[in-house]
Amino acid sequence: MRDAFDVLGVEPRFGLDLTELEAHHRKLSAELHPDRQSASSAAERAAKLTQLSEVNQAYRSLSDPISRAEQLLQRRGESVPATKTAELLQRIFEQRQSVENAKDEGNACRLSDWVTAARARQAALASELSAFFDGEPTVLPVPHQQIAPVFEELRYLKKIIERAERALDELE
Amino acid sequence: MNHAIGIDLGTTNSLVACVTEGKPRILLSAEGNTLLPSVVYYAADGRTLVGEQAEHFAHQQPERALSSVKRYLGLSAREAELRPLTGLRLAKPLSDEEAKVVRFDLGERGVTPVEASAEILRALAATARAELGVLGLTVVTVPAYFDDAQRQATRDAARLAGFESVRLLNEPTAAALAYGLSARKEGLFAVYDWGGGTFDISILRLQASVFQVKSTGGDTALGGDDIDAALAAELLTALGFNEESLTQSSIRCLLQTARSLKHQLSLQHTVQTRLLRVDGTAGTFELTRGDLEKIVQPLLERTGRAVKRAFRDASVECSDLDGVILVGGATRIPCVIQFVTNLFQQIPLQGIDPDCVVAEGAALQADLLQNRGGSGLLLDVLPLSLGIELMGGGVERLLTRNAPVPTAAHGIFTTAADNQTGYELHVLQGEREMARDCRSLAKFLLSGIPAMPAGRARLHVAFCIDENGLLTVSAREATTDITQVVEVQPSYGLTREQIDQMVAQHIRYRSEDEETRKLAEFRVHGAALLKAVSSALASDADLLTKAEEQEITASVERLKSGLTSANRSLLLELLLHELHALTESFNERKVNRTIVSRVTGQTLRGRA
Repeated sequence: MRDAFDVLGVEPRFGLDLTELEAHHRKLSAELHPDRQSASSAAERAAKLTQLSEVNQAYRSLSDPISRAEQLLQRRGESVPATKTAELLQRIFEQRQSVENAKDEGNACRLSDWVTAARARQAALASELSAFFDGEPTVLPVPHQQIAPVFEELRYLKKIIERAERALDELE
Repeated sequence: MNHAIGIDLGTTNSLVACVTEGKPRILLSAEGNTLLPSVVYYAADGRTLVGEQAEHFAHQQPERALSSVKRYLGLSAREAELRPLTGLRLAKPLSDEEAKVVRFDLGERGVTPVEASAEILRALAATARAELGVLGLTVVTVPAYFDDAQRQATRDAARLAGFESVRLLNEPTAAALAYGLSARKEGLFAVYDWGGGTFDISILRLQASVFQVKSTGGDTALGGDDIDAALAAELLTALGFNEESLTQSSIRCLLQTARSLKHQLSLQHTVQTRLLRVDGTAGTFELTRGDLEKIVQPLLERTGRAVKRAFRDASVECSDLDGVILVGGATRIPCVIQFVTNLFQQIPLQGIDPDCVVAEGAALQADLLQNRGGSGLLLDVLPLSLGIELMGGGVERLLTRNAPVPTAAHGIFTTAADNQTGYELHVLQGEREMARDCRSLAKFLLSGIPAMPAGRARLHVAFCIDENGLLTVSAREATTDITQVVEVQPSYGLTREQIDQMVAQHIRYRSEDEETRKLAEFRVHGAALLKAVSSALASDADLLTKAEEQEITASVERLKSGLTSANRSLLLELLLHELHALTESFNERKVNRTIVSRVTGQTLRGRA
């Protein structure tokens, strides 16, 4: 099955240049969009519309670091790791708690500080993934179970950040 | 040649535009105006007037006129009740089926927002046809933040109005198109669009004549109308009234006063008005820009929140912007311009009239699509997330907001009980976590699932968004090879049959022959009445007060111009009624004078 890298025709790496990806997506969209198909037959138009829908889905999924990493793993024939260590669960619980507390207090300042910190943490986790996927092949390969906690934390962080930002919207 | 047109179907005003020699141009109505007030007047027999004429008679019979109907497009009867002070009377739904669409109560019948919007679209089409002839592709704009039900309702209105080929376009995108194409600009733009009924924010990238929407956000229940309502509520308190004690028509009057005060404050710093207090005494009220700012501030803050979220969704910052475009009447208010300048840290672009920019952009897009094979291109996004209700009332999101369209997504669901053979899928739109807080778009019954233990069935649900941003949903059970039948039950809106019925009804109400006959008849009556009134004025004008005479003269002028230009019998009929009513007591006085003079004349002769 074709994955998002195939659909967009980009090199399968974790560290994609997102500006380039955006320009590439725009170029493909312009070629496939039904408004540019006035000369094509109905069947051709329909085929290109389906293709555009796939291109849009692929673009969305590669823009997100988590799903980008998942697809890289799948390409290597490895399953997406899942883990729930006590330590990780504890950390996530604390993070969620501090968001809930700030939210209940109506403390916009603390919430926004938390979001800034969480974003930094997200970036750090993403660079761990980047080292894992795009690192020099001479480096001893890390068994993919070891990056499972990184995945798990990124997934949870994404959800908590969404929650915090929604709370921020309502507070401000 | 068929002419492509663009229509801005607005809450307060609507416009129609075309493109000639590469330039957009707003078309003038028979009365010579660019803005058609979005007001529809309904006679008891179903005939209608639209625009200024409707507005004129709405003053006299507010219960027969509908305004701001766009705010109700795509709403159910229950949701409509939650909308703020508008002075519109809503009909009580008689069945669950009826409750799916709000209806305005006009006494003898209920009118849906779709029907009223179709009247406005018909009037705009007539304006365009009068100048251009046969119409081709029509682009109708909608707020970017309109959900699927609201978009479908707009589409239904266009279908009901008889448009053959219709494309929907987001208003902020249209505005960006008007600016971008006319100025040949490139870069990242924000469109801050605050109209009569809705607020929209869009962030777009313009590059190599491709307009790509990066994110969009807003509030479909936040508009200039809300400023009027808040101002009217202040006035009510100041005058000592409470809302319950007022009639629909006095609420409308008050809203009108509030709107006019708001408009005046965009030009001057203070305004004064004389109003009646609850005890019947008159008082002078003074309102300053500062007072208006206090009222507008909380609404501005709501727009600010939507703007921040749109920035976040587009992963851009203020400093990345190359320009800010203002759209909509509310952006004429000085404190709104100030707020936008502070928020975006730059002075917004103002080169195109904020009332016309959307219609101009729509016309440009219609022209591009019909005549230029898409040399410019618009790439849009899904404004609100779409999902399915889960057990326990949560929502599983299948598509998140700001996904580029067209797009598709699917999810896999399973049965909760052993041997469950039917599964109800509830399609939702919105950002909230619980199903009850989201818009319910449709309920699907997936039936004929073979009996198996709970959790074994595999229900594939697929969402598909087309290039117009409209949703179709399909579902099948995957463990059996047979594709299951899906029953579609839209939670909102009109069915195809209902629309067809309305079209038929419209034809019945508007028999052309009947209309021609009535027009001719009223023309004869009108001419006779004018003659009678002008001779009466010549001989007995001294029986009238100055004010009465002015009123009659104004009405005479309206009837005169109606006799030459009116193409609707209802307009002539109403103008005739108006002049009749105004001259009734004048006639009585005249008759009295004649009798008196005869009597005195006889007596005089008798004495002689």
